[in-house]
Amino acid sequence: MIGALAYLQLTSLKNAARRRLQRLRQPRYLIATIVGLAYFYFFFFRRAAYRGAYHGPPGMAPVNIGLMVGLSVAVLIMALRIVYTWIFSTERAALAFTEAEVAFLFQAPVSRGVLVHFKLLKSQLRILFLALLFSLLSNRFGFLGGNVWTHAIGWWILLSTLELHGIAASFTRDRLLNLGLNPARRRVLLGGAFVLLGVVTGWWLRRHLPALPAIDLINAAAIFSFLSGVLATPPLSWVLAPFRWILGPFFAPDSITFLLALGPALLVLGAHYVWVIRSEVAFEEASIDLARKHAERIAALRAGGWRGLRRPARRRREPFALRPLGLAPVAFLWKNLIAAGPWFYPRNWLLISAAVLGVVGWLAADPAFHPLIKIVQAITLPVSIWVLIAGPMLMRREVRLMMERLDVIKAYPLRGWQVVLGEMLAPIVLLTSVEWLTLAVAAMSFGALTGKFADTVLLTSLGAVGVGLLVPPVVGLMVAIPFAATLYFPGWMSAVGQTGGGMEVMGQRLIFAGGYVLVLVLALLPAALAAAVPYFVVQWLVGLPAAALLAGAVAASVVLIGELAAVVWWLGGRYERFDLSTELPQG
Amino acid sequence: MIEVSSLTKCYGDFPAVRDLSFTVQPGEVMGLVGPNGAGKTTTLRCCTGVIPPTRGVVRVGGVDLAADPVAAKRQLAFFPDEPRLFEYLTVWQHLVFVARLYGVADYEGRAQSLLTELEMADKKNLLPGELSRGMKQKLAIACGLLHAPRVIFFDEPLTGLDPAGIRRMKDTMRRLARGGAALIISSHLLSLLEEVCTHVLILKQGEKIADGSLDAVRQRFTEQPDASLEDVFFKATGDDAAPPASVQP
Repeated sequence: MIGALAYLQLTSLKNAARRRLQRLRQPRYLIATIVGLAYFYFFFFRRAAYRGAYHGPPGMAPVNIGLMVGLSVAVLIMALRIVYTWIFSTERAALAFTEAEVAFLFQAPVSRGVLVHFKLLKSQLRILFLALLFSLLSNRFGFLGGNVWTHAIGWWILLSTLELHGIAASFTRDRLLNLGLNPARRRVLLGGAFVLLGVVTGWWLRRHLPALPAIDLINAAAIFSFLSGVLATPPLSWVLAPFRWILGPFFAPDSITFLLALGPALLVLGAHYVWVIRSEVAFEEASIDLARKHAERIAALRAGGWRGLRRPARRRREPFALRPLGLAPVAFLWKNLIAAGPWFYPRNWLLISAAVLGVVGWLAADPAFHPLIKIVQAITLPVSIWVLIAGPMLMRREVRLMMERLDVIKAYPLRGWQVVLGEMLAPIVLLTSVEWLTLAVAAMSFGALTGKFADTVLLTSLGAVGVGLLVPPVVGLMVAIPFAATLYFPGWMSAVGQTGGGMEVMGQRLIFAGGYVLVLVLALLPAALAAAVPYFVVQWLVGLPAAALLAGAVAASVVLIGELAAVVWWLGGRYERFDLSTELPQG
Repeated sequence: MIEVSSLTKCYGDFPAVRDLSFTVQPGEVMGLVGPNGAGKTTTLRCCTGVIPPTRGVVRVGGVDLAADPVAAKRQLAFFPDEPRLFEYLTVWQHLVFVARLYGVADYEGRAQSLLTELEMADKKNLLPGELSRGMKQKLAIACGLLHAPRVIFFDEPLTGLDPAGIRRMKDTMRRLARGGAALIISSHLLSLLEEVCTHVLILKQGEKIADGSLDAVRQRFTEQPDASLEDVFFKATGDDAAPPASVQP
C-alpha cells in the first residue's frame, strides 16, 4: 500500500514539474523564470556566501551575545506559540488531505497508520523545501554561528517537531474532549497551570536573581542578558528544556556543539513521532471537513483573489445617492466604493483625516513632542511612495475580477473609455485620499520643525497644495498600468494573479514592479519640463518661491491630466477591440 | 428585432461560426441549438457586442451593432448561463447601478414592479451571497429587463434552477415574447425549446443546418408531424442518437 501512495506522490510531483517546464515554452514564462532565478540567485545564493559581520557592544564575545539573544527569543516565541495553541485552539483532530486524497484513500483498504504516515511523509516535502530556504536566509547572519548545513538540519528538526506537535496536540485535545474535558475547562486548567508556573518562577526569581536596574532598560544587551537569566531559572528552565533541545542544533556555533545538540533534539522529535502514531483518535470526519474547506478556499481565491480569504460580504451603506441620469463612470465609482467599504466614504474619511491631523497638530504644537514629529516626518515620504507604487499593484486582482465579468460589462451600452474611467475612478479616489492625508501630515510636521513660522507656513502650504494637485493625475496614471497590462497582455496578468508560487510568477511580479517605476518616470518627465518654465518665470517676476512652486505644479498637473486623458482614451479603444474569446487565456 | 447577415467568427484559422444569417421578429422566440462546439455561445456573444465578429453585420432594432454599439446595446439584454453579480451590491443597489448605466429615469417604479413580479420584493436589501441560485438568476433578469429591452438573449437559462424556477423562467420568456420582444435562447434542453420557441436555428460546426418555424424545420427533416425536436435535432445534425451499450460493473 505504501508503494501505491509513494507512486501517487512521486507521479504528482513529476507531472507538476513537467507542467511547469512545459510552460517555459511560452516566452512570458521563460523570461519571468529567468528574472525570478536571477533574483533568487542574487538575493539568496550569492549573498549566502557573504555572512553579515557582528557589530555589537565592545568587550563582549560576539558569538555568545548573538546566540544568547537568538536562543532566548526563539525559545520564548516557540513556547508562547505552543501554549497559545494548547489553551485557545478549538480545532478538532484533523490531518490535511486534499479532496482527491479523501475521495480515493479514505474508502480504500488502507490502515489508519498508513494514512498518518502518508500525511507525515507528504508534509516532509514542504518542510525540506522550507528548511533549505530558511537556512539560506539565516546563514547570512554571522552571529548565529554554524554553517548552511547545520542551519538546514536545525530548521528541519524545528519545523518537523512543530508539525508533529500540531498534529499530536490536536489528537490529544480531541481525546480530552471525548473524556469530557471541553475547551472551556481545558482553558481553565491549562491557563491555571501556566499562571502557577509564572508565580513559582517569579517567587524563585525574586530570591535568586537581582532585579534589572532601571538605567539598563534602555540597554538592549542588558535586557537580553536579564531575559536569558529568567529563562534559565527553575522551574521555568525545566519546562523550557525541550524547547532548548529542539533549538540546540540550529544555534550550535560549531560542529562539536552541533553533534552534541543533535541527540536531545532527535529524542524530542522521535517522542513526538511516537506520540502521533500511538494516538488512537478518529481524525477522518474532521479531515474531510478540512479538505472541503481548503478546496473551497482555493476555489474562492481563484475566483475572487484575496477576497476568498475574507468573511462573507455584509450589506453596506451607499457612499452617496446615485441618480439614474448622469455620467456613467460615476456608477462604477459608486459600485466600487461600496465594495471598498465605509472607511473611504466621504464623511468617514473626512472624520478620519480630521482626527489624524488633529493629533499631529496637537503634537506639533508642543516642542516636547518634536522628536515624535521627526519620526512622523521621516515615515511620511516612504509611506507616500509605497502607496503610489503598491496601491495600483494591489489593483491587479480587481482588474482580473472585471475581466471575469467582461461578458456582462461589454453588453452595457457604454463606450470603452467610460468603462475604463469608471473602473479606475474608485482606486484613484482611494489612493488620492491617502496621499493627500499623508501630504497634509508631512506639511504640518515640516511646518512645526522649521523655525521661521510665518514664512514656512506659506511655503509649506502652497507647496503641499502644489504637490496635492499632482497627486490625482499621477495616481491615475499608475492605476492605468494594471488596466493597460491586462488589456494588452491578458496572459501575463492572468499568471501574475495566480495564487501559489513558482519562479516564473515571482519573476513576473518583479518585471511588473519595474514597469511601474519606469512608467512613473516616463510620465513625470514631460510634466517636469512643463513645470520648469512657469516656475522660473514666476520666480523671476515675483521672487516668491512659494508662488513659483504653485505655478510649476499647476503646469505639471495640466500636463499629467492631459496624459491621463490620453491614456484613458487609448485604453477605451483597446477595451472596445478586446476580444475576450481569443485573448483571455482559457482554463 | 434582430437581423444577422453573413456573421463569421474565426479563432485564428478556425471558423467558430461561418456565414450565419437569420432574423428574429418582435414576438418571436428563436431556439439556438447544436452540439457542443457548434458555435452557439459565440453567436450569442457576437450578437450582443461582447466579442467582435470577424465578418458580417448584426442589426439590433435597425441599428448596426458595429457602427453604433451604444445605441444598439440600449435595446438588448443578455443573460449568460451563470448570473454574474456584484458581491457588495444589494438587490436594490444592482437595479440602481443598472438604471444609471442605461439612463432609466423612472427606474424606481419599474424596479419595484419587476421585483414584485419576480417574487423578490422582500429581498431588496440582501446581497448576492445571501440569495439562492434561483434568486440570483431572478436578480439578473430584473437587471436585464429594467430598461425594457426589445431583443433578449438567454444562454442556457435553466442551468441550476429547481422545478419551480424552471417553470417561472419559461413563463417569463413567454410573457416577454407576448410583450413584443424578440428572444433568442441557446440551450441543450430541447424540451425547453420545444415548449417555448416559435422558431429554431440548428447549428453544427459553426454552420447553419436549418432555421425557421418549428413546424417548418420538423417537416424538413422528418415525415412524422408529431416528431419531437430531439428527433429533428438528431436527424438534422446526423449524430447517432442510439444510447451506448450499458456499462457493466
